[in-house]
Amino acid sequence: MRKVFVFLFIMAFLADLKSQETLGITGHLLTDQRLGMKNENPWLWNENRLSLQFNKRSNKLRFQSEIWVRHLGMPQYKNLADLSNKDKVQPISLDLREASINIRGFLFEPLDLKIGRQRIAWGTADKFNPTDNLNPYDLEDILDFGRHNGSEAVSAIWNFSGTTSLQMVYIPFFRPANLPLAPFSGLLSGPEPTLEEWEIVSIENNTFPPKFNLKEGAILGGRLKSSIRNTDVSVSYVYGRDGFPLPEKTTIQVLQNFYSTKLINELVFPRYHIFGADLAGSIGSVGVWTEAALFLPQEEFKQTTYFIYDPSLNPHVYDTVLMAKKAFLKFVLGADYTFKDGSYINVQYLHGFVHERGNGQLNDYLLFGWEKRFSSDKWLVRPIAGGIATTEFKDFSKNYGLIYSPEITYKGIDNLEIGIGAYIFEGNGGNLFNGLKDFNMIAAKMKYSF
Amino acid sequence: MKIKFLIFWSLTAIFFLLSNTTNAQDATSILNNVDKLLFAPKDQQSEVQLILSDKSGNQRIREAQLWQKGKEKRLFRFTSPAAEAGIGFLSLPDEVMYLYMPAFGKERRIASHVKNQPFAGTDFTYEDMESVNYASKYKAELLSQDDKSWYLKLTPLEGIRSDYAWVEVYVDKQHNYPLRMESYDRSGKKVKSSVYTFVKDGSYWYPKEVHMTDLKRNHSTRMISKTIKFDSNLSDDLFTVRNLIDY
Repeated sequence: MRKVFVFLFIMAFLADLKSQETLGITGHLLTDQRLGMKNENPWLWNENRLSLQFNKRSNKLRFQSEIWVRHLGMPQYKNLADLSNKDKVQPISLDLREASINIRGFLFEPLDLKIGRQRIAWGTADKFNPTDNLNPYDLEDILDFGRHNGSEAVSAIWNFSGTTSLQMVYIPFFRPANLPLAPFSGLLSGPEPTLEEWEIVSIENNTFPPKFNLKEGAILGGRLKSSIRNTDVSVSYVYGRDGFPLPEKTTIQVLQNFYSTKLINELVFPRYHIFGADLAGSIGSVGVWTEAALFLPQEEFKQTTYFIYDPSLNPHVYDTVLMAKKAFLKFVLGADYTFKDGSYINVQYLHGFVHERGNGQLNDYLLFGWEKRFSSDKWLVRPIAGGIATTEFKDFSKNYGLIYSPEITYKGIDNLEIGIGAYIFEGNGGNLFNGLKDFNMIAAKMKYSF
Repeated sequence: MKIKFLIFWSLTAIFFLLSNTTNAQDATSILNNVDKLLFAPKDQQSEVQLILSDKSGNQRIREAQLWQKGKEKRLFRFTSPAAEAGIGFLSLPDEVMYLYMPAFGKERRIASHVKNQPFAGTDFTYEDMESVNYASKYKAELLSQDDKSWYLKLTPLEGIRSDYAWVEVYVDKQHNYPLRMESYDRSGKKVKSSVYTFVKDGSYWYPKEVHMTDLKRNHSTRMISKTIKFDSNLSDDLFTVRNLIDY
């Protein structure tokens, strides 16, 4: 009910703004449905989204906002009383994606200042951007890897002549990544822990956010962007945190029957210095890009384990180094080409997925797509789309993952897109795509823009 | 006899050489005059309507805004339909072009392989949308003429990358504006045809309508200027990536 009041308040505020000066309202209506191919065909994804985008300009100011109103997931009623609770039967969520004011030419003509909740998209690679580390990942939809949430931030851009600019960003509050929703929720957290000879009957994962103060909670970043000959280049630095937590302290408590244990993790978000660089240009007629980020952990990250056999005795304590104070590099190499007949091919090699970290822990991914438009662009067909993942190409058969995701989209009516597709996964070992192989699905999507 | 023969052929060769040079000079000056007419205003801004027609006659309409400064700076931005509103295209000197798609929130430099592709579903390629001085891109050759028009063949100059092997253009003799252009691919096949309707506003001639037909796709786009304003001292800042992404 509170959400509805908030929404009505926002709408009333925006309606008031509109009455004073022209407020542009655009947006889209999206329905995205995915149905499992196995086990009685369960719905694996149900999203019905109304996106409202507000835009208003006056002189040097620009107000910009995006709100999602959604039915996401399945009804959550479990007992009769739940049927009286509309949040359980008809769950609606509100998501303020962005809300910011941009001041162009603030104090000095070349300076743009943007304050508020905003998306700061860095990097030139296609969807997989290792240098895009200011906003936290929004991975609620496991198949929408590149999506980020907005952050409350202050961004200042000094525009030099031509295409050169320097951007400085300050984000006062750290927010972690959104992990995938059920049934995909465990896929990015790694395998469940096991203990030899002991059965783990319960696991508690408690997160400890950094203190919300100037020193610990803040994220800082800077990026210098320019072009050299026919190539766009940028270098960046971020003093940030890992959006995915690591266990700093683990307590293993042996229960009374001496065969089972309870495991309590205290999870924290490690600090990094992240040095990034990217470039995009062309070699001959082929578009090429590369983007790399060097992650340097601020300190060695140790997990301290307290093994408690008997609460009256001192625990057995030992440390495990989860991440050495040693830099690791994530990178993307990509190329695309458009053929004379209008068909388009895109290939990317990726070292280190969004949730992977640490030396020796990064997998390799080869992602590709080929698409063609037909009938005056009314149909877009992607018969070849997918990727290959492996921990080690030398040992491919033991650890590999495949994704195949063909798609057909109809765009014959202005503002309307209707698409159907499939996601097929196969593999072996502990990689992400193999983890999805029980979730082969067919998908249908409709989007209306207004 | 032998000497006379040599003198005769030498004079003939010199005559043809000179006539060809004169021809080339004429064609170049015609093309320069076309450029002069097209880029006469210091700047211009217009609201345009694009009517896309497929082979069955189905039509789709787009609206856009266009800003031009000098010969080499152009900004084009769709305003409707909603799904395409905000898509922007910036053309800068030295064949530098940027595309902005609001959904991605960042600009992208247009690689050369994309330049021959239709721009946002229209029949204008990115190369067609580029703001460029014809004389600095093409070598002109006068093929023929009649009372009303010159008929030129334009071949890309060395070092200029173009998807067209050559372009044939009819130029109005009285006012120096293009009437019709036909573009040919490397196999010598005519691939594009555009028809221009020029009108005068104040002291400037401008294309009120360009009807571009993609002969391969059997699809056409009419770009109609609904409003136009000249010489309003547009700032250089308008033609920057900073402005392109500020939508």
